[in-house]
Amino acid sequence: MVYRTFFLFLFTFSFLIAQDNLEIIQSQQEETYYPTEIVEFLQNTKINPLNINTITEDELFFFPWLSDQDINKILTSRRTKTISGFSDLTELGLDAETIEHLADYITFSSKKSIKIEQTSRVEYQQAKDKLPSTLKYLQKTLANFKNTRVGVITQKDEGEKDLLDYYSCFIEYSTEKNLKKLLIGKYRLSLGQGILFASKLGMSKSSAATTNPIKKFNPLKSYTSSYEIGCLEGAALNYKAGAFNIISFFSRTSLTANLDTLDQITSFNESGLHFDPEERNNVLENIYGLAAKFEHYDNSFGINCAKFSFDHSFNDPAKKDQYEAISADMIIGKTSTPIFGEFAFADKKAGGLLGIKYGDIKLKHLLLTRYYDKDFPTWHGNPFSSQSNFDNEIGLYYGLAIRPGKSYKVNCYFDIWSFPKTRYFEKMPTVGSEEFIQLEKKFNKNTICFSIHHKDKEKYIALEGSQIRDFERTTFRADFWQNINNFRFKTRCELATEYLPTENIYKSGFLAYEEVKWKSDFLTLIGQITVYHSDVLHYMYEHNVDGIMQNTIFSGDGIYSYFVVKYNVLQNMKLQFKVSDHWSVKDKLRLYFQVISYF
Amino acid sequence: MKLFIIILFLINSTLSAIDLHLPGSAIHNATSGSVLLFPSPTATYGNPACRNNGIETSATYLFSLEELPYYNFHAHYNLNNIGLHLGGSLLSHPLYLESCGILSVNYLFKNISIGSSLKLLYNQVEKYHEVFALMADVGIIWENVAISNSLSVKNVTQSSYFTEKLPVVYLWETAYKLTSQSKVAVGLEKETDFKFSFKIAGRYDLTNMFTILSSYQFEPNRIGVGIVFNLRNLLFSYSVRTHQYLPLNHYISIGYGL
Repeated sequence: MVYRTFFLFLFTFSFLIAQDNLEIIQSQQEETYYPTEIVEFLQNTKINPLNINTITEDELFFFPWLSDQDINKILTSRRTKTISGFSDLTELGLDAETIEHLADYITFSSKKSIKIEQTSRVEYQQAKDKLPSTLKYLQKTLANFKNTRVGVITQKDEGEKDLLDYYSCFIEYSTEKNLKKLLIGKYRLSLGQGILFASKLGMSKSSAATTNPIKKFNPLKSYTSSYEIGCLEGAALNYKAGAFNIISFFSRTSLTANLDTLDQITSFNESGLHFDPEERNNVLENIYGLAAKFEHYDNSFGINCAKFSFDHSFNDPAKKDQYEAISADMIIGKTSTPIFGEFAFADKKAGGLLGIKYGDIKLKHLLLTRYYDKDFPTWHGNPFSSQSNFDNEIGLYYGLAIRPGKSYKVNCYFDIWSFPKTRYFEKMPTVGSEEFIQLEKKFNKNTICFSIHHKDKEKYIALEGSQIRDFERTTFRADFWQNINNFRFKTRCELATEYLPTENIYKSGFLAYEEVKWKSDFLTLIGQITVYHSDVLHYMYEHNVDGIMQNTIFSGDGIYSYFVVKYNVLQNMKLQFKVSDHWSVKDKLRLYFQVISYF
Repeated sequence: MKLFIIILFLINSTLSAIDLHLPGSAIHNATSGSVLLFPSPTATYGNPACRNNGIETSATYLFSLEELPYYNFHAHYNLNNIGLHLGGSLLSHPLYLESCGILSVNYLFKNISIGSSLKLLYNQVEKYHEVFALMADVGIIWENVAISNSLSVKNVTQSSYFTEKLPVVYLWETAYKLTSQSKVAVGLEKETDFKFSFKIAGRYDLTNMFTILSSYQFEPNRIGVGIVFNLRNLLFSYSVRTHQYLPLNHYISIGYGL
């Protein structure tokens, strides 16, 4: 294969790279999935920088280097005069490092009044080429005109016949006056700590152990993701009056659900795959509600309420087809020792989360506790928890970030949880815990990192009779990141073990990869080769054409490789291509091709 | 039901205080038994080489069960290089009683302190047995400007209850002062017939009067969190510590540092 030869060619080099800020945000050493919104925004903004004098508050919010105080300074200053250069930002009090980060993403004047971004992507999976309509298509059109933003996103998965199987369209109008935003179409809410409403991809534990696992999100945003689950569809209005910020919203969304013979909902189809168009969007969900937030200096307090109703009842009597939900959230002392939390009641069940961050630059702590009643409605929420359905859980998370010297970092987190309403005869897990310790050392432009991740939980495992068993998984990992001019090398060795203490069964596996990235102004090449020999599962994140790290799972013996090309053909056009394959397994070839144009 | 399980556990234990790793004060409950992170008179209970002047009394309901109160009282006084400690603990239930009297002596030579404790243990299960045991602990602490190390061995005498030997426990701990407000400690504990237990604990002085303590212990997995109010030399501390299957262990202590 040509790409393999080319990759091996790349593999033999050892030269270097300039620091790529964007990728660090996406995947730092922890390689956790960072939410798409910020990455997507930064990628686009780097190509089409935004005018600092007209950029909206929401957009400023996306720059990870800007603090809330920085944003306030920019907004206050530009009301009275135009910001005409970097020196003005320095005068406002932004530090040199922040300005250096911002430099690629902002301008001080606008040339165009209309901006259009068009993305088209095609994916092919050899394993699915027997399906009637093999290719997966995505197209995304986003247009900005003064204060108005319009978007149309469509997607068809492999095996789906309808080109418009999934669509999202919206029109968004935003100002800096009292009417902050009006949004019609598909949108996403992210309120408080995410108990009632949150992005489905917005929570992760990571080696940034003292960063709130609930990521920084815009509370009301148009839905630009192709992930088909969890969005709202209707209208939402964001009104700001002084220290009060109010969002009223209405949504009437069609969902795909599995129904029993009595037409009752047994579960929702979260895969987004609709091979039979007649079974698509068979349930209607109505939501209306209000979210109000009051901000005062370093503190904010919010109240969120909503009424949910479905046009079908649920098969499970614990789930209601109509219910009200209310929550109160708060952040006290945002810039000093923040205490944050959200307390919710939905369908007469309670859920709550409370956290505190404290410490100084050399030793930071994060303590976070949560409690969710059994059968707490979880459909639109995604708060911190140990599982995807966050009901019936009580837990405590403790994160520590230690900086003993300039070049050393130690990050660790510990999470313990239990499922209090589970009864032993139900054959469900009752407790679990997770520990993570990472030691990182930087020298010159290189980084070496050792980490241990241990998870101990009860799990339903079938082994000569199915039953709940203690299950321990431990992963040892060594990473080496090397930057040499335009090249960046990532080397990883990983040893994973799984242990069932009661049966004394022990399994282990080994994975190693080398990733090489070369980047110039117009061309980026990324190649990776992974070797694995394992009786257990290994998880690895890999680059994709959409800029999002994609999770890949390995088991058995084999070699896997992928190659990505990102070519900026013109200033306003990018071509991106990826091919991946398992060398020893048949029919695993995957191809991606994407074109992004800017007008 | 929970009470029954705990009582059964206590009865079947060779020595409940060791098997359950009951902390002696709210500070030790919050720090998973760290003796170097925050100075308190009760620390000598964990390592006989500790030399923190003062008196401290603590109380808890084990795992939030009102039927199982557990009390501690400890006093320590340093006379030049020699330190003397007197203390006791009491776990009381109508069917089960356990107490421990402790007498410790330690000696400071430059920045190294060595100490030894003599413990008199008493255990009574109503209408079942009543037994005494005498055991000794030894400890050493080496302190530098930023780093402190401690090692203690509990039950060096390998004492027994009836015919069964009590476990020997080895505790090693290192604390590092990162800034004037922050300190971190890591430790390892090994008890006969049990796995190594790893501990990490942090201290943050929010103000001169208010300190936050937190810790994690691996094997068994527990998180402890506590606060200490320091009004002049009067210390008020409160902490909670988790248990995977049982309710939280709340602890309060009042102490006075001489």
